[in-house]
Amino acid sequence: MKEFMLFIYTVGDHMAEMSPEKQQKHVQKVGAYIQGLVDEGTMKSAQPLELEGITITGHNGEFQDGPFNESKEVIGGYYHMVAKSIDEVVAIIKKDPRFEDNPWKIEIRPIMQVAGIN
Amino acid sequence: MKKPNTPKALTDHFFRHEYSKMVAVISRYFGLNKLDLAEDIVQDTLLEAMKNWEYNGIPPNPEAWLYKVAKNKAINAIKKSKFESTEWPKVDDSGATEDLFDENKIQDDMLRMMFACCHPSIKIESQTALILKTLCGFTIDEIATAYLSNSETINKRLVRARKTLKEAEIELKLPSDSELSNRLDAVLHSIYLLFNEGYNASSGDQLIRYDLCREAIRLAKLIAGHDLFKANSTVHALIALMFLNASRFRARITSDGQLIRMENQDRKLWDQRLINSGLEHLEKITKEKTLSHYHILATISAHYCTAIDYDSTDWVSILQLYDVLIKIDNSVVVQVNRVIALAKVKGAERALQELEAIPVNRLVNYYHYHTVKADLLTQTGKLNQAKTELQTASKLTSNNAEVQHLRSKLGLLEK
Repeated sequence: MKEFMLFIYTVGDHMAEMSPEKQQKHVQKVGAYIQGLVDEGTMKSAQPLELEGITITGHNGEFQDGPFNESKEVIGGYYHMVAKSIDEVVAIIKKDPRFEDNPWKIEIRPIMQVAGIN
Repeated sequence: MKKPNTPKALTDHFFRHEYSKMVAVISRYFGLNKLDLAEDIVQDTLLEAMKNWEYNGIPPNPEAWLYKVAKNKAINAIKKSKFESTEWPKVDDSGATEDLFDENKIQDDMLRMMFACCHPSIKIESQTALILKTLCGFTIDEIATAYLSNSETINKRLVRARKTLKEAEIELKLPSDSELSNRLDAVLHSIYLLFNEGYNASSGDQLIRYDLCREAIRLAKLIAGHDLFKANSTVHALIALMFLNASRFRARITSDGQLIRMENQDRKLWDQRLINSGLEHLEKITKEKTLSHYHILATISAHYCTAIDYDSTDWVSILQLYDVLIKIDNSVVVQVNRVIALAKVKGAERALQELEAIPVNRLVNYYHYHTVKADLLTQTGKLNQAKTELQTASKLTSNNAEVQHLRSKLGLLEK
């Protein structure tokens, strides 16, 4: 089995523009989807992230804040998943009901495995 | 990983209704001149809930979760304001907020909010928009859809209404005894407008329209639940009327959006549960001597709802009720509806005479007048005149279902 980190990008905060009714529907269907994956063991962890944080750049013991995120695209949450292959993850993620309501972008990155070590 | 709570299903419209509760409660502390801030806090709270719950599951007590978050945000806003300005009400943020979301007080808060939204200094079209926004948790877009308007117009209305709330220094309290009855009438009128907006469909979106009807009933029941109004016959009459009319909601439109007249409706689709609820409220006020127009309309609706089929409807009683109604409400709508009953009891010829006796200047742009007239003209064999009336009618409505209905009638005449 392989592990994957998935970064869920949102463009702007379009969840804020949804009506309470749509927000509720969104919570219920995405919640059920994630819960289902947790129950079957595919989802190890899933959490939302604040849309703002701090970036620190460092070199030779010197630190500075930034660079600041200039794009409107922000990581709004992550999934940590277990699956046989990245193709399997892709198939699962395409069923994420969040795509029904708003445009989202999900980046799937395999956690690096080194032959003979992991 | 900590296993999230088993997802608990949220009750229908949970977010929408919690939105309105929280706005009403926070406004008690902030005052109505900070209504937009209260709404922002609540919007933020729901957003936080949504983001959290979709990942971690719905908590066992979602109301308590929301109230805790909203309360913290409210307290933070108050703390922040202490540095910024002095115009804030003095709020004790230690003890007072403890019972901020006491369930018993929430009902009172919502009632006070309702009276504030229907304050006489706020224009009637703004009243209903304000009710939908603050008491029903509708977004500006949803209100615009419901009123076949655009978001800018609705937003302007809301901004103006909030400004009036500030400038007229409207307080969140129930009216005094001396003005209670008038103010209640205004609230009920606004609720009835809301219901009719949903029921009579100026908009094509079925879902939103059904929601309007349901919300109107919910608000009226909230009033009826308060000690002050428990025994108020007008409130029960309005609830009865809305339940009885709403019972036919699903039978009135075909799946492709065509309007179905009552005589052609499938009575099996009438919601018997709603009919019973309506009759129960009517039952509570049968001994009432003074009849409100809601009471008369509800009784008429009850006659329709309890008839086995259209032809065996008790038209004689309905006509009598319209004769009473016309004395307190001489509007064109009532006059035209009375004529429909009259035609059943005394025949189309007589009904047509009375319909034509209604002063023409009052009928400008009232399309239902022309549809009724067309029916009566058809029944009395004046087909050409009937056609003209149908053509006039179809120019006067923007409702697609109505237009299609009129077209199909016109088609029948032309065969």
